[in-house]
Amino acid sequence: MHYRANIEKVVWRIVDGEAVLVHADTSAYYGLNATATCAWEALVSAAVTREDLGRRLSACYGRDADTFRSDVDALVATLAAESLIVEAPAPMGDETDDSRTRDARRSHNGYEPPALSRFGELEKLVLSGE
Amino acid sequence: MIAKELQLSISSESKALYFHGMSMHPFLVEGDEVVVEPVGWPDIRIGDIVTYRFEDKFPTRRVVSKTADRVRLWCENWPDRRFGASRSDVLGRAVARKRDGRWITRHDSEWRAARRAALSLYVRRVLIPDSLWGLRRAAGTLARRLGLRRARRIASGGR
Repeated sequence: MHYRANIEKVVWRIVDGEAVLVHADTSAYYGLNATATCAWEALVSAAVTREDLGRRLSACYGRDADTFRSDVDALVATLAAESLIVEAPAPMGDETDDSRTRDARRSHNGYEPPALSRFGELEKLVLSGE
Repeated sequence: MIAKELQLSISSESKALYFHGMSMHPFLVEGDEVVVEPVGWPDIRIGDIVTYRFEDKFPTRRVVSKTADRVRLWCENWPDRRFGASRSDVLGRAVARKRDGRWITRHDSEWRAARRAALSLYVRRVLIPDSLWGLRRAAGTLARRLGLRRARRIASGGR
């Protein structure tokens, strides 16, 4: 099964290697730690499988992809439960982006399990006319 | 703050933003709902209303001039005050407003009429007086250089 970021409903920005996400429908906002951000970058670039995400983390952290299996399963379940990712058809052809993987390897050091933090819901934003 | 900026980028009629303050009266008043869309720098036009980041707020004002990397901003209800924002701080452009249950968009005649009226007011209240003041200063400088007028300090006895 393939997954991709729910880009129709979710906006995000990566700051200091960690992603901040906002869901358009719920106004909920989230933070991803560096490990989850590594996986998120793959999810926004293409439809990927859990195995792809394992390989992505392997590329980021230099460990065997199988060691990430349980962490990837947990992350996918958490992201899907919050509608931050959706199931997607398999992409046409090989969309692996080696340059992104190399960049990721340079920018990630210590491994910690991927984590999604839900910070709450944003209140209606006020535009200042003062 | 980052989440709020992201929230700005997904505003819509169902997720509108509130306007607070009187600086843009009468076009925007306290409690108006506003939709702000991300906008490319080349697409920003004189007369547009843009939202930008300033400290922890999102001021929303009208563009009265634009350079390669800055906009000068103005509010029709505060004609004597000037504002500016750099390109990197501009977050979006107001494209719709709801008041008393009715939406208008930037393409509607009411919106365009308000834009024209605001720019006209800006020309009369700011641009022409500024230009006249600049001309007066230039004329004074020229007159002093030609010896037609003494420098003010000398003329006033050096005080």
